[in-house]
Amino acid sequence: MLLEVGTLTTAYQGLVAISDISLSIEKGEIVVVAGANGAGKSTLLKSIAGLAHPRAGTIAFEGARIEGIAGHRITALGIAYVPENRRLFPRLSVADNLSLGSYLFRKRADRDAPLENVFALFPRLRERLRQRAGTLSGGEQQMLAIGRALMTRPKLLMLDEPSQGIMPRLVDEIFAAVQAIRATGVTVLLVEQRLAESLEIADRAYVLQTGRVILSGTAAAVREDPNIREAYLGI
Amino acid sequence: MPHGEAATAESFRSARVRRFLVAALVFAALALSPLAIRSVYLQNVLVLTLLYAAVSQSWNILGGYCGQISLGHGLYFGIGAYATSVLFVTWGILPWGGMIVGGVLAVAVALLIGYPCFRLQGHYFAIATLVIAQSGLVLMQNWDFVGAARGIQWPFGPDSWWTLQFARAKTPYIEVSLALLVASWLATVLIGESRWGYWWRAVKDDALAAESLGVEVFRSKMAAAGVSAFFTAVGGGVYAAFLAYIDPDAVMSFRFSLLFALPAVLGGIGTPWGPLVGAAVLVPLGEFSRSYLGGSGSGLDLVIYGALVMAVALARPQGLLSLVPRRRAAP
Repeated sequence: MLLEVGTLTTAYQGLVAISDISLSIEKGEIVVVAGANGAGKSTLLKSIAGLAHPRAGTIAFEGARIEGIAGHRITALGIAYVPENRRLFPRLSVADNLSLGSYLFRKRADRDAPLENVFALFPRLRERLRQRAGTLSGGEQQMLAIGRALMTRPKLLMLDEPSQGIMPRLVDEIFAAVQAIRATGVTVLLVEQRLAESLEIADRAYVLQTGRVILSGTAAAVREDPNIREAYLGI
Repeated sequence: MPHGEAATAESFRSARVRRFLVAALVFAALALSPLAIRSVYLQNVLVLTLLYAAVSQSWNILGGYCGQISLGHGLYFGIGAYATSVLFVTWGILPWGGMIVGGVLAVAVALLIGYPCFRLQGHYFAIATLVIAQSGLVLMQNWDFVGAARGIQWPFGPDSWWTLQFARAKTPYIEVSLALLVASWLATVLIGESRWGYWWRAVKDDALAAESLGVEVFRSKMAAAGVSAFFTAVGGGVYAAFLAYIDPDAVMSFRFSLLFALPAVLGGIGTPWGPLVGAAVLVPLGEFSRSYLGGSGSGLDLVIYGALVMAVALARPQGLLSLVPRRRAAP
């Protein structure tokens, strides 16, 4: 098991955002976490990334407990997190945004190594290297956010709503990139509201509602669930 | 940093060479300026301009690059001034050593303030610096060992570079202030190009995104606070030698905290030349308004500063430097 979350509860100033969530991810999987706004999807990712602090429960990564560890150290362990709304550094160039992901590594060669991989996934980024990140289109910004996270050479990549605010044609490109990333050996935890599309590329799915897991299983099983078909897939 | 692409690496290198060439010319011109500016009054203004530029550059490291706004840099300035004065007057330790001791002390104080504040988000740090600097002022006003409110008079002696005492000549103070400006400028630019510089900008823009990329947010802020406090305190030491008499209000009042932040904000916050440009406008303006309109202590100069900063904030929020057309995609 690459990641194992056990009865995790996280609260913000007394307001419980997720409670008793258990979830596990095998190496090489794409796992989708779905749910409506406010279901606790982002909180779950932030808790794993060390950017929100769980009140109770456990998080184990490659068998070692990581709950309560500072966010920058979790990144160094091999968990990368692409936040909602991308959160690039808009005044810095594309190249500098990418570099910021790789300063984890002391050796220059280690820093530059993931770059070719990122360019292979998103050739557009190579063309825009000197441009300020704030001047990119929404889709390109999402590519940069994912590329920046890949510069940390993660074993587990967590994406929070990568399709948000992006034109439909580019959404397909992003989903294709997620599959390509998995093909390079990176495990993916994907939070999405576009359940239909994400179930097509996912192995398994968890559905959250008001902070709890209400359904989990293989992508095919979740797709066939009558409640899901009605509530999310509209069929 | 540029990746791959020989062409971008090339243009980056030439932009860097150009930047250092421009800096060398500007600093050389300033070093030679006493040859042209003979009036003692104007030389005095020049000393203050360079000194404020240097300290504001130090403030800029923390406030402009790392985004942590300090309203208490007067405290570090005062620590430098007092350390230098006490060590010299009491034990005869040369001011050059005193400045370094003051710098180290200021770093320690900055880290003590930063330790609890930098874990919090929001305006805690700015408020804490303001309050602690005011407390420091009250402490110095009542601490007998350092002369309390009476202050410390440096002993009269012959002109000497060792003791940095010159009865009439202003040129040595111009050169020392300039040297400090060059040092803080170099520190800003060199660290700015390094991993720390990128970490600082990332922390300023979006601390959460930075942390998710492995940036050590807390340590970045602490490092910026330390470097910033060090140069500020050395500036305080130079100022003490220049005045040869210090008291708490003369070296660490709130006015100083404000006047270290303003040049950077006016000239261009988070840029290597902003503080010098801002100081070159603000300091002469303040000095001239004081001598021609009279009334040191009337606060008229502060009114003028305030109006100026408001005007710039409304018309050019990026500071005066943003009026200069930039080459495309400067690093």
